[in-house]
Amino acid sequence: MPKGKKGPGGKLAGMTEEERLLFMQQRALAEGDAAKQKEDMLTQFLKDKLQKEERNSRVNLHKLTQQWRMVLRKARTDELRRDVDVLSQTFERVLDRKDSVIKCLVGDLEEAEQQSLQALRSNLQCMDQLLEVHRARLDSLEQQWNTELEGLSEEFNSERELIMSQHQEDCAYLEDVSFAVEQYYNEVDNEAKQDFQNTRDDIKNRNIEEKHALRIQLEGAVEELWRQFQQTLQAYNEATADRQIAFETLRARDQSSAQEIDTQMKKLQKMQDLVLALREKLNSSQRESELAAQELRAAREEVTLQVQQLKDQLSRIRVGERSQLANLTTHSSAAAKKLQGVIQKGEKLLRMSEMCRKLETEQERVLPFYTSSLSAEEQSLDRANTMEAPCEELAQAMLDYTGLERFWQRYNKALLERVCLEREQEALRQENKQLRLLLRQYLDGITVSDGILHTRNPLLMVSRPALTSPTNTEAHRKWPTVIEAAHVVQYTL
Amino acid sequence: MSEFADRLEESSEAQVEMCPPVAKLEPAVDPRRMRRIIAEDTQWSLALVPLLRDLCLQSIVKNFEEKPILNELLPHHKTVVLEKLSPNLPLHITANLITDENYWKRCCIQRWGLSDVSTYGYSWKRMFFERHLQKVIELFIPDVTDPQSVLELVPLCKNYVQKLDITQLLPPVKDPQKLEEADGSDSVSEVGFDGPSIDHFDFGILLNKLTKLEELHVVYGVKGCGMNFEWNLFEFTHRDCQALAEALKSCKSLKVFRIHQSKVSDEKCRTLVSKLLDHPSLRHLSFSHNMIGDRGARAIGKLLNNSKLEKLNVCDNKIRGPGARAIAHALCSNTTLISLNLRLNQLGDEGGQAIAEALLYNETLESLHLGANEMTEPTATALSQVLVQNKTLKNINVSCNRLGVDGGKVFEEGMSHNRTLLECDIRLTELLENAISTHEAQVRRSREICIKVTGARERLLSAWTLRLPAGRGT
Repeated sequence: MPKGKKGPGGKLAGMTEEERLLFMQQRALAEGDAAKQKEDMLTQFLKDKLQKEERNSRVNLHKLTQQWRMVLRKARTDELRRDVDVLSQTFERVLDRKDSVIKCLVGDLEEAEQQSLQALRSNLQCMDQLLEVHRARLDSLEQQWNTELEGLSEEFNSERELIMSQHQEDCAYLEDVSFAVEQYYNEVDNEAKQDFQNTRDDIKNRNIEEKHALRIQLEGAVEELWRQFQQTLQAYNEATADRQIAFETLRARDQSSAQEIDTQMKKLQKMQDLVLALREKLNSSQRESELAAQELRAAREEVTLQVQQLKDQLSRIRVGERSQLANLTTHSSAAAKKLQGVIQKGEKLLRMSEMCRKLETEQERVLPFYTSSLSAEEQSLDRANTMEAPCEELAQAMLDYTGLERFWQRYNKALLERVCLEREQEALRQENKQLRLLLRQYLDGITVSDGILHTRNPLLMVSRPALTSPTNTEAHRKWPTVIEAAHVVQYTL
Repeated sequence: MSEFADRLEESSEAQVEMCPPVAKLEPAVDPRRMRRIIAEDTQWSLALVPLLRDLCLQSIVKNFEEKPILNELLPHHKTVVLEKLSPNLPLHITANLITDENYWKRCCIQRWGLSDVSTYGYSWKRMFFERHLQKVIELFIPDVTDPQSVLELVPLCKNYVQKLDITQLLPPVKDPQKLEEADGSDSVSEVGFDGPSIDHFDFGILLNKLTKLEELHVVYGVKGCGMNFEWNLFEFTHRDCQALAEALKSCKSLKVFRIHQSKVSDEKCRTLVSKLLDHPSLRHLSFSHNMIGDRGARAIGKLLNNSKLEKLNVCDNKIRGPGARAIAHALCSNTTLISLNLRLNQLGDEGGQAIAEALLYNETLESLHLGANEMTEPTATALSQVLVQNKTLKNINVSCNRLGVDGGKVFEEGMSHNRTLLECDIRLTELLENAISTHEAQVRRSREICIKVTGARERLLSAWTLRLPAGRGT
């Protein structure tokens, strides 16, 4: 309040300090009040403002939120649109796939249907054909059956009629015949009966008469026969009287002869017994003789066996002796030959010794057997060795030849001398070669010719290289390569 | 002594009389009196040199190919030569020369074993040539086999071939080399890429030359392909169809034509029918087991009235109501058709009723087969009306349609008025038990009806056929 402030400011000069203080206090109070009022107003104003601001802020907030919402909505719609696009694409794809699958299935279904239709058609056709065939067959069978049935029934009927008619005819015929036959037989029967009666009567009468006649006749015959019989009996008796007597005599004779026969029979028996006994004796004696004969035979056989054996033995011994003799002869001849050989060897040796003797030196002629070059110890050792029982076979064999020690001595000496001579000869030969070479070189050096100038010439050389003859190198080369065993072993195993 | 001799004579005579009555041969010829020579070599015979006549005949037989001499011989020589001729002689010599059936019988038996000659009119020669030509056609591979090989057979067999029953037709062989070339070549050569010139054997070259051909049966398929099955083996293409139609038109003596199991569709049926219209001699036509629909049926209807067809068989196709209506329309004014077979189509009630209406006007049809056509009671009603009115129908087959009990009753009633029907097949039509007893009564009343009634499968009644013999006129 500029007025308020101006007012008190203009009055300051006219007042006293207390008034000024009071004024100042009043002014301060008024200012305070005013300030309070102001403050109140301010607060009120601020409150209003605050409220307004709050309202505004709320409104603004709403606005803001609204704007934000719009923005967010936009963003959201964009997002959603994108999602929708994506989803629509995926759905379209899925849909397409499903469509294609459905098409495939539909195609498969159609093909399967076609196949099934094809199969069905061919099946139906086959069935139709089969049905036709069966129907044809059935028809033919039925026809056949019908025709056969008709044929059979016709036949049957015709036969039946035939048979019936024949049967009837036959019946009629038979009736007639039977009737006729009955009549006929009746008549015949009556006649026969009458005849029979008649004849029976006749025969009866006749029989009675005949019986009478026969009786009479027979009686007469019987009497006559009886008389005849008596007669014959008498005659017979008379005839047989003497026969009877004869008969009696014969009977008596018969008895006597029977007795004789008995006695004779007894004699016979005795004789037979005797015969039997004799036969037995004969048998026994025969047997004994046989036994004796057998024994003799056996003995004979033994003897012959022995004889044979002895013969065999003899022959064997002979053969043995013969072989022995042959052996002996061969051995003796062999021995003789050997001895001959030995003799010859000995002669050879003698000749050789003579030859050697010719070649011997004076020293050898005098002292043929040199003293041993071994020392005393060695000699004793050697003797001990020889004293030992030799174990080896060769050593045992050699025992036989101990006598030849002296010979071996001389022989070995000769051999050693020979070897030494040979070595000397070799050495001399080498020397000879060397000397020749030197000579050649010297001669080469002396003579001057083209060929020699081209070759190595000692005259034209300053230093004398070692004169190794080419042959030595060759000789060196002749030596085989020597490889140490250790070296070989390393690499072979 | 004389008495003794006399007695001997008597006894010997008596003995001779007691011998069996054997022909009395001369002693020199009688093999029982002469010494017989039993040789170890079974071929040995006293007759070492055959007769000159036999030698001639032998040489004729041997050289028959170069010089076929047959008709100049005497009859008994001719029979001898024919007995000995080899069945493997080339046909161009023997076809028109030898008419003896025994020779052809030997040829047939050697080639095919025992076969039934009654189906070929009891003629072995005809059987041989028909089967031979059939084999040649069946093994003909288009573009590989020379058609000349077929044509040169024609003059030999055209007098003997009356029926051709072709059971397979081979498609052309797919040439893999050609395909490879085509793959690697430019578009230019692709345009000029030659497919096979014909898809199957072209009958056109053959049929017009076979002057006696009366029956032709064809199947466009391959038998026994096993694992090599491909759909193209069973395709009856447009080209084939056109060629076949032309060939049929050119064959003037054809009476029976049957194309079955060849996937003949409507278009192809129309092509074929268009060429068969007004065919001079066709009597039997069969399109069985194909895929003919309503349009094809319309074409067939048109054919019915423009030719002298007596027997038509379109069983196992896809003819529906409209197709049946077309055929019925043709039937109304048709006077030649005797037998119609429409089984295993999908006529339905619509078609069945149409046909029944046509039958009210038609007076020549004697045999009608409507089995397995999904027909129900309305058709039964229509048919019963037909049975009352129609006087020429002798054989009707409605098996395997669900006529039902009501249908059965109506049918029964129609049947009671009919006097001309001879055979009626109502199997699997579900005319149930109520109907049977009355059927018995029907049968007793009408004498010329043969009804095959078999119960439903669940009840397993035995099939009893009632056929009353004789008495065609009531």
